[in-house]
Amino acid sequence: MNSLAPLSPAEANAEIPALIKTLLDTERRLEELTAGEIDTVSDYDGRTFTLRHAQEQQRFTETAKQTAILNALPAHIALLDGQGLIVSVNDSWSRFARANYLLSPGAAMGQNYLAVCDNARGPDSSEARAAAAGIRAVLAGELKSFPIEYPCHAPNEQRWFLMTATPLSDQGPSGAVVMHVNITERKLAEKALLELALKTERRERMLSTMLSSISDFAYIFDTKGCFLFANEPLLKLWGKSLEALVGRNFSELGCPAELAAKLQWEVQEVFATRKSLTGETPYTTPTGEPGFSEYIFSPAFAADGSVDFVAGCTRDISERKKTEALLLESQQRLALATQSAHIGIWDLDVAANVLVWNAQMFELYGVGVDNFSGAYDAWKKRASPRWDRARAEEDFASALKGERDFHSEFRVVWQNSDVHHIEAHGIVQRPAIGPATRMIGVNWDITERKHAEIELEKTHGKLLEASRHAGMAEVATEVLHNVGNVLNSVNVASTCVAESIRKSKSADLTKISELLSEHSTDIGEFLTSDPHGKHVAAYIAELAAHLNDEQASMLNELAGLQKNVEHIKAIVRMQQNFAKVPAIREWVQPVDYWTMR
Amino acid sequence: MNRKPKFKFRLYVADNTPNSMHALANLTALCRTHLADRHEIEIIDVYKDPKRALADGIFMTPTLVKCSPLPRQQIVGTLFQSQIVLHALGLEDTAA
Repeated sequence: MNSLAPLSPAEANAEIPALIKTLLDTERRLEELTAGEIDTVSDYDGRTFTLRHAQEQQRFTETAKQTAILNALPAHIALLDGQGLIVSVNDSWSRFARANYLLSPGAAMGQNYLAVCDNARGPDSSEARAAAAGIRAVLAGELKSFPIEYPCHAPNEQRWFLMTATPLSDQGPSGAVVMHVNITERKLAEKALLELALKTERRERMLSTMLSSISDFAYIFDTKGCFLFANEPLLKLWGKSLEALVGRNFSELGCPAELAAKLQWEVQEVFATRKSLTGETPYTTPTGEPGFSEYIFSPAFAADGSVDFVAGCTRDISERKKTEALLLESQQRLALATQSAHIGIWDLDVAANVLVWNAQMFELYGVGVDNFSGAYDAWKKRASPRWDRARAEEDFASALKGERDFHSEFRVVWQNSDVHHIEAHGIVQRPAIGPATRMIGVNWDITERKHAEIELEKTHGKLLEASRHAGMAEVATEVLHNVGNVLNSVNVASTCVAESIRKSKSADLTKISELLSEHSTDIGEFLTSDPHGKHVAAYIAELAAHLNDEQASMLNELAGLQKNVEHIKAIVRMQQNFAKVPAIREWVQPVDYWTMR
Repeated sequence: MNRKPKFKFRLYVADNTPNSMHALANLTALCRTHLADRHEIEIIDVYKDPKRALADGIFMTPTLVKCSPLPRQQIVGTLFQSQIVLHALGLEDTAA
C-alpha cells in the first residue's frame, strides 16, 4: 500500500483544485458513456463509487422520506441545538404551536425551548419547569432519555401529553430531540380503567362477601382443574387460606384419590362439552361423621365462546338424604298399605289440570297407563254418566269451592262392561287467598259392599214381609184367644137365658088364656063363683110378677151378653190397630227400585 | 410437450438509487407482461454484497443479467426502452 508523502499547505492548495477537476471530468465522462442510466461503478478491486447525481438523489430522497415520516407522525417533534434553541420542527409541532398560541406562528424555529418552559405560568407550570430541567440533563449528557407526563388542559377539553427528550447523538452534547405525544386517550382509558378496576374490585368484594355468607361451597376452576377461587365456608372446611388453595387441584389438596380423580375428570368434561354437570358424592366430616353432598359444575364462557373457567357449587344434602330415605320408606309403606287395601291415590293440580294416578288407580278403573291422558277429563271419561257421575261432579265442585269435604260414590264402567262402585275422598289445598290449587284423594272399590247392601236391602224386604205375615198370625191367635174368652161368657149368658126361657111360666099364661076362653060366656060368674075361677085373678097377678122378674133376669143376661159382644168388637178393633204396620220410608233410585224388585 | 422455458434474471442495484429503482420497476413490468408465471428475479445490492458483484464481473449498477435460458446476456441501464430490452434478451417472439 502506497502512502502519500506529506505535502506542504501550499502544495496541497495547488493539488486539491486539480484533483477536483479530475474528479468532475471523470464523473462527466462516465455520465456520457452510460447516458445517465448508471448509479454506481466499481473497479476491479470491488470498490464501488456512487455517482454524484445518485448521491444527490439519495440524499434528497432520504431527507424527503424522513421529513415525510416526521410529518406523518402525530407527535410534536422539535430538534434543539445544544443551547435549547429550536432548529427544526415537524408539521404537528407547528400546527399545535399555532393552535395553542404557545409560540407565535412561524416563530417556533429559533426560539429557546428551555426559556419557553422556564417562563411557563399557570397550573401546569411546575411540569414545564421539570421538563426544562430534564431537557437540560439530556443536553448535558447526564440522561439518555427524559420522559415526563403532564396535563395540558384546554378550556373545553382535558388533555395530557408525554414529553420525551433524547440526545441527538451519542457522541457528546450536540442537541436533543423533543417529542410531545398526546396521551389523552391513554390517560382517559387509564382513568376509565381505574374506575372500572374500582368497580370490578367492589363487585368482586360484593360477590365474595355474598358467596361467603352462604353455607354452600362456591368455587372456580381453571382449565387445568386447579382452584381459582373458593368462598369462605370451603376455605374454613379445609382450613386453608385462599392463597394456599389457588393453583392447586383436588388431589393436591388432600382429597381422597378416587374422589379427586372423579371430580377432576368431571371438571375437564365441562370444559370439553361446554355443558353443566351435576353429581352427588358421599363424604366424611373431619369428626368422622358420614355425610352427603351434591354439586354442580357450570361453564363460564369467554368473549370468543370458549370455556374460560368452570364455576362450581356444593351443597350439603345429608339432612335431605335422611329425609328422602324416611320419605321413601314412608312412601313404600304407604304404597304397600294402599296396594294391600286396594286403595288408589290421585293428585290433581287444579291450575294446570294435571291429574296423577298411582298404579292402584289404574287397576280400580280398569285402564292402562297408556290410555290415560292425565287430566280431569280422563277421570270423567271413566265415570259412568249413566248413573251418578253428575252427583260426583257436584261433590267435586263443592269441595273445590270449599263448601264441604270431597266425599262421593260413583260407578265406573270397565272396558269389559263390568260396573264397579268407587268411593272417593279428597282434601283440597288452597292458599290463604284465592282458589284451590291442588286436590289429593283416595279411591277404593266398594262394589262388593254395594252388592252386599243390595242383598241386605232385599233380605230386609223379605224380613219385613215375613214379619208382616208373622204379625198377622199372632194377631189372629190373640184375637181368637181373647174372643174365645168372651165367647165363653156369651155362651154362659145365652145358656142362662135359654134356661130361663125354657123354665119360663109363660106357658101358664097360655093355660089361663085357654081357661078364660072356655068361660068366655060366663066369665063373670066363673071369676067370682067358680072355685077355680075365683083364684084366676090372684094367679094372674102372681104370674105377672113372676114374668116381670123373669124378664128382668133375662134383660140382665142380655145386657151381659151385649157387653160381651161389645168386648169382642173392642178386641177385634184393638188387634186391627196392632195389625197396622207403621210405614217405612226408603229413598231409592228408580233403577234401584227396579233392581230390588 | 412444448413447454416454454423459465427465465431467471439477476438484477444488480445500488440500494434505492434512482436508476436502480427504475430498472427494477421496468424489469418487473416487463416480466409481468411477457413472462407471466415463468420468470424469477434475484436482486443483488452491491452496497451490501460487493464481492458478489465483483465475482460476477459487474462494474456498474443497475445491470441486468439473464442467467437462463442460455445464452447468458447482460444489459446495463434502466431498461426503459422495452423493445430494445426484449430484443437484447431474445424475447421479441414472446412480445409478438
